[in-house]
Amino acid sequence: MRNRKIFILSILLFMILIMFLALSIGAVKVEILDIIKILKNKILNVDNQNIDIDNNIIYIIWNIRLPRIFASLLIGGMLSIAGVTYQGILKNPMADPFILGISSGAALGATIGIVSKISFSILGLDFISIAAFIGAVSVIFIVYNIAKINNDVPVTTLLLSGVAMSQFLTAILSILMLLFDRDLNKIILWTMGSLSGQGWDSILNILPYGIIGIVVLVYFSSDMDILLLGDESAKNLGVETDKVKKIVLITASIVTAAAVSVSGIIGFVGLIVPHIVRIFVGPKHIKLVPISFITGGVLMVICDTIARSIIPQEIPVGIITAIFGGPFFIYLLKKRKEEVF
Amino acid sequence: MKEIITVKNLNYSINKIKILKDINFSVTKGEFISIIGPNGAGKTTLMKCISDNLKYSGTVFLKEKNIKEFTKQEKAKIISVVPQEYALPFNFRVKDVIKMGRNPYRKTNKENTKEDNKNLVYKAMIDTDTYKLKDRFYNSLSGGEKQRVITARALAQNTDIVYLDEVTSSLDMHHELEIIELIYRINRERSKTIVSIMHDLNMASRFSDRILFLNNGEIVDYNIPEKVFNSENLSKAYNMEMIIKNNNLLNYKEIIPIRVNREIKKKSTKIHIICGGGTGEYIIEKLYSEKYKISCGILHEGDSDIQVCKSLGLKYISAKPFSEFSINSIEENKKEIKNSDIVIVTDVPIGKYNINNLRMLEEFKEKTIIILHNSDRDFTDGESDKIINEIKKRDNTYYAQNLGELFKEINNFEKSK
Repeated sequence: MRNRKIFILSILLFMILIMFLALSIGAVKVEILDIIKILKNKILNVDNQNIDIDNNIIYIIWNIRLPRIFASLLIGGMLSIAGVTYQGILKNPMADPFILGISSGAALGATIGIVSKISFSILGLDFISIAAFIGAVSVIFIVYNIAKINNDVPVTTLLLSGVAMSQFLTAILSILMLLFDRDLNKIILWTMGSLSGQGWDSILNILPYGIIGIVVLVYFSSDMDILLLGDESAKNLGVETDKVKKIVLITASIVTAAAVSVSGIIGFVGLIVPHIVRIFVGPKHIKLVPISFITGGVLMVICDTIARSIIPQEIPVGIITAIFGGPFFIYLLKKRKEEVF
Repeated sequence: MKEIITVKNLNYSINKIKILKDINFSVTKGEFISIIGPNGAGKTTLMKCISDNLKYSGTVFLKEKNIKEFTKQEKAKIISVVPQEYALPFNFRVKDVIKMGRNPYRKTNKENTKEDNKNLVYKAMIDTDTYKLKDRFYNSLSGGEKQRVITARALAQNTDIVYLDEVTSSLDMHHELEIIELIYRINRERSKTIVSIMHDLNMASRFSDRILFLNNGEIVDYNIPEKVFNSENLSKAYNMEMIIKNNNLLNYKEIIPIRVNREIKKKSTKIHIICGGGTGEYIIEKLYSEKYKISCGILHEGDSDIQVCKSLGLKYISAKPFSEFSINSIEENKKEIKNSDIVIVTDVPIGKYNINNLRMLEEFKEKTIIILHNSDRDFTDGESDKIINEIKKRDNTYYAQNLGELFKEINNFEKSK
């Protein structure tokens, strides 16, 4: 119990610390004290004239770095709670948006958006994001319906149809990449995931999905716990298994789709974060969901800060998460095998 | 007496293969029902149907209302199910698993629910001896401990009906009896209705009010244990030989499995056995399993050899206890000996009431007789030994020290024919 409180408190403190560090680090270094001044003035809506900070720096902090940090927090958090849900509902510690084909769906959608050269935007989302969103959501429905046997959705068929679908979509994506080689760079960048250039508006666009996601998943948290006992037992304990599974899976998928539609594909976060958090707070979803959200967010801020500051050229953040995530995951697997699974 | 579960014309099939055929039965409130039957009889399927977790045809009534009219949550307040223990994909603590039993009550806003939850979870832990495990990880427990935790979860549900699916198969003798006694106690003291699939027939016989005997998806019998447990039904269903006798210590019908039925040709050799006082039991059973035609006599009523003949369905000739054989029984016995190819005399002690068993052998000079070894069977001041020695002098009399020699003599006889 004490362990958990300390963990939650430290992750919150850590989050604030990391946010300030992330604001200060970058191509232009900004002092922490200056950052505090800028934030104070902005929030209290005081005129900037009476502080002696360059207007460009104010612009970098308020209009470039801060929205990007919030976007990282949000997207990391959203991918993490989606991962929690998939692992729980599918009773498979390896499940994440990739295995179910959702990420491939989003990637294919985005690629179609890129090569079609259609440019318009709805509610601040450009066509590429919208196409990615549509791709992700349609894959969920297709996979779910392939997996359905007599109104029941067994985990094995769901995972298998997800994997098959994912392979199929990746093949089509490769064909598109070959056919439209002048867009190759853009497509590759998108499939690697990046948070560069995210403004306040894109945050506002995906924020509702993040909030709805947390609310729905927390509401169904005890049902999700009981589903881990197996469908049969869950039914006998009064859980409307099919209904809960459907609602929760669709929620997680929409949350994923919203996140990837903005950032591109960022791997490993949805897989690792739930496992780290499970070690500290246990498998109960009422704690797992919100704490995974915060932890995933913090992890994403760290990775994104590294991605944009370690070398002069920006690295896609998906590469950073994979470089850190892969070995870290193997380490966890070896060290705490007993307790994680 | 109120019917709490009523099953009418229940059928269930997978890919047009009928798993359950026309099942009709009802359970009265407070009863302890055991479902028995060989593997593949449809026991677990039946249990899944009557908890409405499978799509069957027919109707299941729960408290006189169609079970389909209940929501899952309402149903979970009436029926709890204890499955066989299994591993969980993630590591919950034992207390969290048991607390899940309170889930059906989670969304009701009664004031005392929180207090109820605490008390019932605590009580379930104490009842199943899992309180000391409450902070351990479920997956680190042994099979038996997991089973007790899962049982505790169902008890925490505090339902009128408890279903159990072969819950004792992973338990040792101590914990098997402990769980069944616990179930029996909540059945008797808290008048919970129990429906349990039992794989231990003797436990079923000992604790149930009624037994539902299932074979090939059909109900063979549904009655009190004394009636259901007859060797004919059980042997046929389990395809094996068994002896059913009264366990007088605990007062229930006990089943002793003997062996699995093998393909043995029926033998034409007829054997009459002169035995008594339990000296025949072993030999009768052995010869029976080799499929010889057997008769026994003359035995006094109450003799334990008669019990064996009865349970194997063999012909025997009996006489009133503590008296000399009647003319009738002697005549009948002579008829059996006449029709036999071999007569076996066991090492039965001979006294004044059964000396006639030997005396009548004097008439059958041509019969093949096998005498089993015993140095001290004479309680008749020499008469019995005199007859035995006289018979031994015959050419067609043989002598066997043990079962091996007995079968050798029988085989020799068969060959010479």
